[in-house]
Amino acid sequence: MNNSKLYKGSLTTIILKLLNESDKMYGYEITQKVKTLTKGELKITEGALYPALHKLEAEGLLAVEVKKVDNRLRKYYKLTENGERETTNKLEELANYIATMQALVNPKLSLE
Amino acid sequence: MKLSAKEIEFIDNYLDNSGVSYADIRMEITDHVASQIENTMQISKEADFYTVFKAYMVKDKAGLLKENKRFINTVTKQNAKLIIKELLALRTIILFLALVFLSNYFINNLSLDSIKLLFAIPLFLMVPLAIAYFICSKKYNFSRFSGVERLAFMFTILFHICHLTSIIMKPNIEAGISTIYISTAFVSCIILIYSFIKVSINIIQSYLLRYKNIA
Repeated sequence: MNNSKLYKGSLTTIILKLLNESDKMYGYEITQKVKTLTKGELKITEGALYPALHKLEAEGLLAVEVKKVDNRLRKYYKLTENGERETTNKLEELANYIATMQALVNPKLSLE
Repeated sequence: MKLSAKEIEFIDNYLDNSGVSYADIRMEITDHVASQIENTMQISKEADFYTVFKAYMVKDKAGLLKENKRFINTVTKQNAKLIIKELLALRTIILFLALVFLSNYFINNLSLDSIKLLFAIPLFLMVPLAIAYFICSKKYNFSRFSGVERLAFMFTILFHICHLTSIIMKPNIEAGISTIYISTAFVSCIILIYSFIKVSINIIQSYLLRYKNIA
């Protein structure tokens, strides 16, 4: 992941949120989705994405499905029940973080 | 534009020669590289596969190989976690206590020479285990899958633990240590082997299930 170190801590939440919105996704699809949603502002590199996906898989938050697509094998990720619960927690955590930062950076706006 | 089977094979071979030797890791990286190349070729219609591939590798190869290394560490940690989880499961603890109780009863009736030989049992148990692993890896052709292959690493550690226990216990047995300590050490080795076998079977089954549709 490039752009800013600020994004690094949110990578897991980004992945969980995207998977929560679709049935299943593969690695490259996630990088492209993030790029599109952020209009190219945020680019997730494979060196950051795959370790995060494997970690979530090891923690039992993601399940894996392998399919043959276009002459090659593709590994799809989807949320497990624990993953769905964790997504809710992570999003809540992120919303609180944003609100706190908003209050610090722009107190006027946060009071409105 | 989709890449041909030959082009996919080229990427796969290139990654294999670059040290991405585990099939499950390489599969994912191959798909990522292929998807990126297809995307680039879609945008710039005149670009040919080899030019785009070369440009991609010059820019991103280091990152891909780094990811390969991280994945292997994750797999090792994951296997270790599964074994620890199995060791701490209630049924394993109950089995451990029951076996300690039973073996203590039998050890009390054994001669000193027989007790000394007791710790050879876990080491001998590991021989058929190694043979079974070797036969299975050949039969199912899964020897290059990371999770399965890292089991061999765990197996080596397990062997050393059992061997070390045997070395530590031998002088203590001769010194007349209480049989409860002997049975606890003996059963610990047996339970470790049991947990290792159980986790190994689960890992192998999960790989067979995951890759069942893929020839």
